[in-house]
Amino acid sequence: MIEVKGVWFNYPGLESPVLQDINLEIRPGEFLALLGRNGSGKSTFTRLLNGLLIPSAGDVIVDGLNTRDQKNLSMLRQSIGLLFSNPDNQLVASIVEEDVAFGPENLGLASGEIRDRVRSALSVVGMEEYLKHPPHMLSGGQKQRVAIAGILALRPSYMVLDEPTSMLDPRGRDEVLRTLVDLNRHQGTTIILVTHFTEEAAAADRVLVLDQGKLVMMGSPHQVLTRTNELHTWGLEAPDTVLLCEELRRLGHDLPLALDEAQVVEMIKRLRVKD
Amino acid sequence: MSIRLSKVGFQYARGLPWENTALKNIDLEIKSNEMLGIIGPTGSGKTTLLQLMNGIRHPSEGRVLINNQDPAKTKGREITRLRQKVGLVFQSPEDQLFANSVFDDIAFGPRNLGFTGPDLEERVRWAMEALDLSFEDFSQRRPQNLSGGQKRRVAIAGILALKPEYLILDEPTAGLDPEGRKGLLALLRKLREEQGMGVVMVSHRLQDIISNCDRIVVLVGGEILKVGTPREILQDGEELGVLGLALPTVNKVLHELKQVYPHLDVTPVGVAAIAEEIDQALRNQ
Repeated sequence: MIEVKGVWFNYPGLESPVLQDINLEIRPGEFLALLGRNGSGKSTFTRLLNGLLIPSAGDVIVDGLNTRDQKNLSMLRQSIGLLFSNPDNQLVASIVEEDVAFGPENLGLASGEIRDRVRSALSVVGMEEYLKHPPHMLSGGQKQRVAIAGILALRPSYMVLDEPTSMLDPRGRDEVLRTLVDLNRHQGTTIILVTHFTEEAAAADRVLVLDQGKLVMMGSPHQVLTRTNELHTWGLEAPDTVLLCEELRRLGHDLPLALDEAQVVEMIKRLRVKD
Repeated sequence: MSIRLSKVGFQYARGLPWENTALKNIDLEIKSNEMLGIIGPTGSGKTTLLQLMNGIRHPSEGRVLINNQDPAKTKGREITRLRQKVGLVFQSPEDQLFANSVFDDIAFGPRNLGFTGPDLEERVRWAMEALDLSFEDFSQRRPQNLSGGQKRRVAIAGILALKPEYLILDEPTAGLDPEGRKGLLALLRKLREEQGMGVVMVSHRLQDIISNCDRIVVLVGGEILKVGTPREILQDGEELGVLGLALPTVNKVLHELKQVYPHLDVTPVGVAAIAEEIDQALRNQ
């Protein structure tokens, strides 16, 4: 479990706090989505989770380890993986296999163990055939999946992703999101997905919204993503499916607000029968 | 006045074992006062196409004319003047910011063209206001301290400061949040309406392209598959899906509903228009 207790954060030299009084428990095996506009503090939050940044006040405790304690950092960094949005900034080696091996090598693991972990990580993200490929020749989505494999090779319990799809095309986005859902459902990895795309948050168990450094809302995807007006004040857009249902209601049709495209289609077809 | 590409082709590494044809048989005209969208999967040749549009690269076959001048046959001061007409904004343009102040970064181009003193300031001020960056609030700020969206606008202002006739942008909204995206697209529309610029936008986001462009070019495997208005492009939902281009979810809903309402128009753009269409279909049973 990750406990965020009364966390405040200021960047040195800047007056206004970027995060204010964040209190949160992240349960093992959860898929959590954190939504917020640019500047809301969400990226800063991700760096507090793995000890890249230390809170100005309050504590972040991961499975009993406080990030303030230097001794804990090595354990922490194996336990929580952090993925950034630009795939090109995260790949260092000349072939995929070496890139994914980078982490385990630095842990001093035996070469047999490293080989196994590399293959199994690449298999989880569906990139086994690219073992000997140069990373720079892959598509954006493929690069992100390799970067994810690089983290998985360290066997983290938690994976934090800071806008992992913002530089990807639709296919790439789809691949990465499917990989995350898969990781969560089949490997039990706790996923914390930071994004400004409300459609991505629909896949989560719980959705949180950050605005000007404060947690302003928490709930199920349906609870949060149907609050179109509030989302708007927080600089976010409700998913188009919700907006479509709202518009149809305004035109006089009786249907609930839905997130899922298939559900929306079903409901409209049922309206036909009712009308 | 236009940028005209006639039978343009491009190969990388011509004659070498790893020769690669990036573009084939491209016929395209970009007019001033038009917003053109280019959409295509990764590897379709979009970036190469953009580079041909402002003469950074020359075609292997065919010809590019910028306002009737061929950049491949132009040299010296003339080529500088020609290139000035076509502003090219690469992806993540904020990576290009280097100066200590917003003013200095935007002034870089005009300074190199010989602008000084009050003329320079006027040019920088104009470019900033065009991108909704208040001169008073932003000129002395450090670019590194701005938000992503603000940085991006500073970078575009730097290119706009050269007063190009055409502005070409590669994935202009990638990485921006919903507000940032809406703001930038509105600014691009304004540039086209108020300055009469020809704006070319390459994007993966079909939603952005269909809501803002007059014409859309679908590029696949280096060739133009189709050119049409947003509604014409929306007609072929399945085709786009096969190409790895995502149809907006709400248009997919229309395609699904067509099974029950065969006369449904699948081409309206935007949630409001789509709701209207569904509403009509429901009432006309």
